[in-house]
Amino acid sequence: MNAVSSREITGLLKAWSNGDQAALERLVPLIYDELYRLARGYMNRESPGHPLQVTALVNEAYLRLANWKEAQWENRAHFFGVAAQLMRRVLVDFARNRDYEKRGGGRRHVPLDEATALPLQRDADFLALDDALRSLSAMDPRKGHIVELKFFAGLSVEEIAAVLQTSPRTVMREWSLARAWLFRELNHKAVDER
Amino acid sequence: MRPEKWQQINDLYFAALERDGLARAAFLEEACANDGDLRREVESLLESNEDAGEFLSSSALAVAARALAMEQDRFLIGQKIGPYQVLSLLGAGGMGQIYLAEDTRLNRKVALKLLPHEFTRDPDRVRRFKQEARAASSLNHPNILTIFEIGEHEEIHFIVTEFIDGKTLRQRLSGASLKLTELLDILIQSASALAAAHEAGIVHRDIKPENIMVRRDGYVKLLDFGIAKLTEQFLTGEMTRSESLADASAPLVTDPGKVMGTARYISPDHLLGLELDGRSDIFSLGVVLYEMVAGRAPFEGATTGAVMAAILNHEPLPLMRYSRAVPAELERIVEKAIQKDRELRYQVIKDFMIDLKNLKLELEVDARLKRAHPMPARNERRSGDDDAPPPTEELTDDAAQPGATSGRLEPVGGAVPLDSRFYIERSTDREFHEAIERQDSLVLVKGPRQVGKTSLLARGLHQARERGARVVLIDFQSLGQEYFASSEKLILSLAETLADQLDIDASPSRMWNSFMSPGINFERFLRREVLAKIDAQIVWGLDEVDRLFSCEFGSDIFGLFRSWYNKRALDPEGPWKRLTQVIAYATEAHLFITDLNQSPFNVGTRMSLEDFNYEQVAQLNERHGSPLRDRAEIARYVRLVGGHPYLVRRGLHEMVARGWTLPLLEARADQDEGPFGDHLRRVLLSLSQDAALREVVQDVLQGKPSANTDSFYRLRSAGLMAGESARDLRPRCQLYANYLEKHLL
Repeated sequence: MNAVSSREITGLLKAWSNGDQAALERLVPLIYDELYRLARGYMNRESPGHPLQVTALVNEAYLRLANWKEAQWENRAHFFGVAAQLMRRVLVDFARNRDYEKRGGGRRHVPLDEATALPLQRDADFLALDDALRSLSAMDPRKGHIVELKFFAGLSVEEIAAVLQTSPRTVMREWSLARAWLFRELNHKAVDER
Repeated sequence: MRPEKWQQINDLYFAALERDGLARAAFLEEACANDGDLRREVESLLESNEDAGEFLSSSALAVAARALAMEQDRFLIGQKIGPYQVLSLLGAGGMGQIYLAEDTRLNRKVALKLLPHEFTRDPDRVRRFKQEARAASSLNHPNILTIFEIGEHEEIHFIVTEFIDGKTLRQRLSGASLKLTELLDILIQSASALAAAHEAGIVHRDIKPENIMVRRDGYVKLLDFGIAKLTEQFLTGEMTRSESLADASAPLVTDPGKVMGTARYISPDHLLGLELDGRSDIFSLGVVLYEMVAGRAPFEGATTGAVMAAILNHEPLPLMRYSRAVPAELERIVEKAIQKDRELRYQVIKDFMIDLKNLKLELEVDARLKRAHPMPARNERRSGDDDAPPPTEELTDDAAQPGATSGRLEPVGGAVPLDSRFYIERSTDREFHEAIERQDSLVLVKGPRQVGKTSLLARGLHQARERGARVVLIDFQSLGQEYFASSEKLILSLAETLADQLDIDASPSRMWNSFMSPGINFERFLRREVLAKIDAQIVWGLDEVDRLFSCEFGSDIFGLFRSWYNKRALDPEGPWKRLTQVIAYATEAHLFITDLNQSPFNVGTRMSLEDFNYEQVAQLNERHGSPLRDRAEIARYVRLVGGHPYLVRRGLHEMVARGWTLPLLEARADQDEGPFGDHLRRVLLSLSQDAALREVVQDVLQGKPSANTDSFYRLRSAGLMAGESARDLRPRCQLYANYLEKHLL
């Protein structure tokens, strides 16, 4: 990880956004590294006061990945869009693989509600969220974009407002509606599956 | 959806967000005056927004990492850390996860403890930690865990120690009960380890059952020397920030179960922030000893803060209160070890240890003497136990000894103590124990009030525990009104009580998923945190369940119990086979359930508690020193009180206590201030609540039976009346007849 500078990462992101699949292959392990590093941070659930410390770790991780708070791209909106899509793609694939491994690896039968490999806050999973987000974007691309920036790229409301050149209040409202819509969508789905 | 429609929803949603309560409702009412669908859509989204809680509030990377961390055992197992191949997760210790690993250079099994990243991010802390751990590793004592290596590999800091094939004292305590001498032995070995440490100037600071390992061969190993201090700096750093020890919401409580586990053993000196010395460990070890004997810690509280306050201010109950078999010397030793003022405690651990050793020796000598001259008339022992040491060593089992022939009395009422010689076994006892031993899914014990349901339940749980089952007991009568606020609240509280009694660290409320119904949440919790993690049979006793009859969501709870029964039926070899629910409820409530088909249970192994028969009354009479002088008197007495277990015992007790003869008892029997007055008044009271039933009873008393099938069953299952059919209905016993005649006619 340390061997790759944020400048290089930025370069890889650019290359990927221009359709260079090889760049993606080099980016994925970087995100995995951060993921595992963070997971270790969470590992000891006993350690006190961890919510704060882990938040700091998460911020660090995002910072290291592409240093994107500082990114001096010709088009910031474009840059963050790419970064968020990258995170979304890698994490959803990651969830899919693990889900597959769990089901197909023959280790044990996983009942439906345990199969959610990566719990969101409570137990919906990345795959379901990915689907729901696709439906949302089809209806309202801007809200889909806000969710990507907020959830996948880890930007704050203020940062998103700056990127989209609008007010934080507007972002906040749209985020609220998008989140409510997704929550309801996932909730319905969870109920239907039962 | 049409874009214009969605835009409309957006506008209304944003506008509604700025209003709340009535203003919001009024706004929507007006804005959607003639479009109910639109209004419902906006309201549904607003509601989702409120329900969404923390949904999507942390970033994707954090969520994914957290999920990964939860499955860390999967993710580290098989990996190599330096020369150590990780084999399996052993558990979570004071500071990090502990894995079983193999040292590939020496081909030996070791325990590998990984320090959390947060802890090791600060190089200074790591340096100090290593220093301490090295000091501890210089301690060379057979009862102290040997440290092989303190190392680092690719940012992972770890400690490698000898691998102990055994259980922590906490695990040991929850298994089969320990004999007093075994228990003293564990304490003596621990004290011996501490003596060596104290001599070297090292205070353990975190003595608790989790840090005492008992090997299969009985060898004790103390864990986590030196680590405690650093853990604590880590902890107190947070604690001072909250500036209040008693603040239940202090950051300490990230994992309430864990911290609570530790808080119980903290010495007052420690809480007061004094410079610690060996006397602090003495206190903690004293608390451990107390808990081992009493089955509960001396200082308890609902929150960490309350526990700490109890340590500073409360006097613990004497051990005698838990078991009369506690030797006075043991009481003295424990008391001295857990003095709040350290000046009054044992001053050095060696003195504590010597007292324990002497006590153990004394008990062993006693036991040998008794073996040579066995006491007569002991209760029968468990079978296959021939080699077991004599019963005096067993804490659970000594009560009947002194004065076994002098007819010492015990108070009557409530559950009959486990060790009471006034407990009479009935045929249901055997059926009941067999059902639990078979691990039946749902065992129901029903009967009128005061016929021995709780006593039977207690015995069933006790035997199950002795066999190695894990046992939980919830008494619905003892639950405060707040538990019954809603079905969700009750279900969550039940789950929490379950977790608490089983010492499960995972907190149900933390894994409660608002997407799902409380019942599903409870089921998931049971399956994932209880059944998946506890290998033994789990026997869950629920007493006084009739309280639910009068509760509006009672049927939700019954439905839950039944659903687990069904799960087991669908998958007989699945995890649910290890759950046995034992439910006791009073049928008195049947007086008020108008439709008996609504009776909550139509599944499970059902048994009704029967009255005592003549032989059983005779037996109890004998155990009271035979106040009923002959068979004729016994027969007369049986006619008077029937075989009602409580009445039978109450009367015998009164006769012995007051020196009454049977005629004297008979003369006072139906009086309000007589020995049965309380019981009889309750009978009358419950009848007075239903005029129709009262009339039926009046008719019966006047010899003109008028009961229909319904009132017949209700009166009979409530235990007020007896008989084979409505025409045959009669008062349950002479005493009821006399009393009811006096008051109803």
